[in-house]
Amino acid sequence: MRKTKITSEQHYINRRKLLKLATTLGIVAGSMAIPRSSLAKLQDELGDDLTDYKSITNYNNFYEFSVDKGGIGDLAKNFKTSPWTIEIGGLVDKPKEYNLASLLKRFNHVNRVYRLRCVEAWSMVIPWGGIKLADLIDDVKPKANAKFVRFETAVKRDQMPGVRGKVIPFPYEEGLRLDEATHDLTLLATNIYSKPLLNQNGAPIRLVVPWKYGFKSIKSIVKIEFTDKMPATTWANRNSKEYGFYANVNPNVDHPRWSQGSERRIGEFFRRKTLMFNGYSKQVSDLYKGMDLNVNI
Amino acid sequence: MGKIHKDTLLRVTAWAIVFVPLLSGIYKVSTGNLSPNPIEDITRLTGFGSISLLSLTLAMRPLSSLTGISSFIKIRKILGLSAFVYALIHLLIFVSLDYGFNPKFLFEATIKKPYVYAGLATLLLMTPRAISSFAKFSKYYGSNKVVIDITVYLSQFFACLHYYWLVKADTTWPIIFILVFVLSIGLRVLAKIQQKRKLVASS
Repeated sequence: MRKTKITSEQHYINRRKLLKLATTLGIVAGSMAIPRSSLAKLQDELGDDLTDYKSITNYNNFYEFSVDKGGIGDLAKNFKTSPWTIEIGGLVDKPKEYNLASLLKRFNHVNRVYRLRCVEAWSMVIPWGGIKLADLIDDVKPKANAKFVRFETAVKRDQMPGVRGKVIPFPYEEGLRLDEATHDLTLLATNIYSKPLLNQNGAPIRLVVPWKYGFKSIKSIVKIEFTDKMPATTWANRNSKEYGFYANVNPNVDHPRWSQGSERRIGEFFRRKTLMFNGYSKQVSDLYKGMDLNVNI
Repeated sequence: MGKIHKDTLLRVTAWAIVFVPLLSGIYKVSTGNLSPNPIEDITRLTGFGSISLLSLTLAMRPLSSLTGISSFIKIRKILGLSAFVYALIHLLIFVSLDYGFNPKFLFEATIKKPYVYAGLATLLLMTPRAISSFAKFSKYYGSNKVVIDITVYLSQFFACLHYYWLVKADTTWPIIFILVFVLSIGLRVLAKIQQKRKLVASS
């Protein structure tokens, strides 16, 4: 029987102890020549290693450029992300047009290491930087009847060669329930590994919702809208039996055509078991209390 | 002379085509051109290689009747057998490298998943013709010619279905292969009808 690479809590603690010991002895610091403080940053809270930057920036689903995950960086070279404005409207007291720089100045910057699980059954561990969506929402003051948030990706025909394709309609649109959007885990990311997002990763600003399949984490956002009805979303529009509005990572509910029970972590040889809510059950399961997750996919 | 020349030329071409998927794989590995998900890369490469070669195999007879060059028929064995070998490797990669022989993951990934059954059907339906292509077993083929030929066409059909069912959104290639399938089977049927007419006319 093969060993799974999921680290149990006890193993994790033991490993930390061992690392601490090693560091104290100066073995790790000495032989690997990395400062002690950066050691802790190389893993997520489950003890999973970060995915390397090269993989994160060379394996992207961004249909505005191509349906091929490999060449997005090249195809997105001419995509202009500065200046960038985000229009915030709908059911809010203070509709606004933010330019990106002022948006970033206004809110606290946070760094978060999250697992990203694609609906295609591969995953990564990514160190994001950005702002909490909750902070922005707080600032624009949604009206009492606002229940959902709708997001839209830029469409620039001259800079996005994939937009001419007919595989999915553009603009790409996504949505969250307001309580999901204001959840502490939900980010508007602008950085990966402390570097500004590259175009293929959704520059200059994108959503990150780590307990949902990757397609929810919409890239290159130009519009955020507050609504009272569940907004239409690109993939659910295409096939609502295969892609739901919630799209929570759930190993017990398969994609109708393939299994969601296991996943390939990019950079690892053996598959690993997919975790409920991508390992964020503790933080988010309360959001879905009383909901049948077999139906509300 | 001209005929022998054509035979050789086609044979060399066929052998070259057969090695394209393998060589492109070796090229990608040696130049570091694999994606961050290399197991997916080689799974796709062998799958795409197999369905391409299978489609080519079954296009040879119509091509031969259309052009009047009988040599096309002679390279079917090379193309067809290699399609079979790539399909076999494709399945082996899925079970070993991709799923690490993990029984639980494999069970989840295959049971109730139609694309898996279509893929298995493709391979199984290719098997009789692959075996009977060896001289030792050709007798077996001779007496079951029609049935075995039909299995190969069915195999091509299931290969298309397998591909169509597993792509996420971009169905361009699966549809191209479906069109090739319809075209080759259509031409085959047309040729049969013409043959019958000729027979009727001459009797």
